[in-house]
Amino acid sequence: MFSYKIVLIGNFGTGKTSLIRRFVENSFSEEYLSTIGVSISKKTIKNATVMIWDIEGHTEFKPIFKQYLLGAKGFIVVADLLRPESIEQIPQHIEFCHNVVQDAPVCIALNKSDMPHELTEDSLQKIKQSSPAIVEVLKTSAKSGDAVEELFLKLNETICEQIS
Amino acid sequence: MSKKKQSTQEEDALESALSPIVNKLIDKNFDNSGDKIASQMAPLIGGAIREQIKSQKDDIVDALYPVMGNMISKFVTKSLEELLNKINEQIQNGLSIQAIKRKITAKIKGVSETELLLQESSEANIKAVLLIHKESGSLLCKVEGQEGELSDADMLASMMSAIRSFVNEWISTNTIDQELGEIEYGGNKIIIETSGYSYLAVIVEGAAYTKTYEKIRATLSEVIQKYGQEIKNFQGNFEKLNKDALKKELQKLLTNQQDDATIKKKKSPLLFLIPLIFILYLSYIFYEQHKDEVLQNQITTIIEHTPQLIPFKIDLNVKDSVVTLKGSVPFHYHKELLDKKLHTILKKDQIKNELRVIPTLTDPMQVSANIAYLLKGANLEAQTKINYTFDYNKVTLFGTTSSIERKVNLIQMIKEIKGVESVEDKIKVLLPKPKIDTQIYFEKSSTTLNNKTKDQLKKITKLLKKYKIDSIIELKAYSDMIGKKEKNQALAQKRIQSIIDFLHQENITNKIDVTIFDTPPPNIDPKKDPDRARQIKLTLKNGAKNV
Repeated sequence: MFSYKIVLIGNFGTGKTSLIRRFVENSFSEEYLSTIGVSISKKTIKNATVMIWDIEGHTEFKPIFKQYLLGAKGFIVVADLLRPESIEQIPQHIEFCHNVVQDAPVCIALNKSDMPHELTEDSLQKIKQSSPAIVEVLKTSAKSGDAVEELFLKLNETICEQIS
Repeated sequence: MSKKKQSTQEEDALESALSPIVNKLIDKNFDNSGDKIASQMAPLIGGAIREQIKSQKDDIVDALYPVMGNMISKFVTKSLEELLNKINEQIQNGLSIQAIKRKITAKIKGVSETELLLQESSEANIKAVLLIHKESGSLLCKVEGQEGELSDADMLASMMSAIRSFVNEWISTNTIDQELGEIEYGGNKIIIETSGYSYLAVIVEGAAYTKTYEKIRATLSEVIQKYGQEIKNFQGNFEKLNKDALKKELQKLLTNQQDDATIKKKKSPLLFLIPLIFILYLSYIFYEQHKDEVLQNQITTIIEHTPQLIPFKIDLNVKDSVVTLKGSVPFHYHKELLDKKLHTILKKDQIKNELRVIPTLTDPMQVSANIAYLLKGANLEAQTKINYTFDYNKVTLFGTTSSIERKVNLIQMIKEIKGVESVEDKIKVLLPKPKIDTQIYFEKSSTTLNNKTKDQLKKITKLLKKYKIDSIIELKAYSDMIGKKEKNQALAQKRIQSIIDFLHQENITNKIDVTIFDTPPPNIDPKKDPDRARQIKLTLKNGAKNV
């Protein structure tokens, strides 16, 4: 039996909450509701209880509370395929995570893949190589559900291997 | 002016014409679309009430009072009732140890007992206890009371951690090292007790008191002491955590509480103390008795090993380690000897020596010798010959002595000999023989008694009566040899008869022997002294008489 915490981190409006909703409830809503503070969901994957922390999107004016990241076994950094600046800031997010939890595994979700975008395979590989802690970089779509499950399962697999 | 008046009249007419229709329309509208009107009116009502409160507060209070007042009083009454019941229960427990403790605490703390009673009445009701990993918010372990099952403890644990994190992050900018203590909601609260790597979230219904906090702290410190390392190293793998043991620890918080409740229902502990004290008292008595028995045996052994004391009957009574000695010994020596021997095992105040010194020891041979010696002296006296038998402490005396006085003296003396208890008297007293030998003289030819002869006979009758002499009286008549022999004999017969008659008159019943001689008495010459020859001699045949 495992029980651990993962945190989704990323710029505001990248679709962190939508990804979680898709994964946990298998639903999607077009309506945008900004997360205030933190929202926590629970999902059981095989024999692991995963507490998924969905924290307030990062903006220039609002730093992320470090405390929320404490004790996380893994992170999902979410970026918006349609917003290049959100992708550019992925390394900063990873660094921020590793400041709190050293060497924790990270999955990158490049969200909104259902929409037309211009990310090349090269850029994707580049992101992947930017940190040794990155387990997977996936183009996801909370709307269609593309690669969402894969994203969480991959992270779960890595974490379970580490803690068992 | 008239134009204005006209328009007013028109308005009035219009109003009176339209008002029935409008009223009807409004009624109809209310009937058909009441809901819509309500929703339209609602914001207005809110505003209206606010306005009314602002301007006419008292009116609103008066209007609402009957409803609100009742509601509030009902609530307060109910709460007070519950509180009273709890307090009553406490008071009924009466003289319990807890009550005594409460009294003492009240005195020490200077708080009123009622206040403490109130505190006890509102015992914190712990619904659930969660042990949460501090960093990750993972629920390490949880226990729940029977009433409150948590719908999603994992979520609660994470949310609690999130809230803690938020508060701590926010606080850390202001002050250092401060923690979120508790969260209150409704009548419940979540008490948070934090340690290095984990914290306890205790969900409490109602108020919590110092005792509750102390209990929570104690539980957490116990958990940390025993499982601190495991918790520190917890990475999310429950296989590396002894969850059952943790659960047991946490369960104590709930069970303690249940125990408290059951203890409260129990009767006053004094009720259990009474039989306990009784049993202790009984055991004490048995122990004391046993101790006394042992002592008694010891003393008996001492007496048995003291040859000087063996012959005497000494009663022992040992009670509460105090020995009472009763009985009698012949000498002080024996009493002191026993005292001395007992002092080897007992203290002075443990001995009550009530032995009496009575020289009762008398040798029968010695007693007999004493009696014999005494009698030997007594028998030297005239007419005394007394013998005795001695059957231990009873003397029987028999034989004769010459006077009652002597006999009484002798008996008294024998009684005074040690070892003589009683004396049986079989001694005969021999009285001296009264000498009766009288000559009674008669004048010539006379046969009657004169005064002189009567006095003589009276003296004799007195003697006979005094000594109770029943011997035969001998009467011997002698002749003066004057006249004829037959005539003299007849005169003698008559003279004897006169004497006999007189004796009978004097109540003398002795047998009388009569002898008539026709001779004068021996040694008397009738020719020279005829008056003396003419006599009747009175003597007793046997001179002695037993008295």
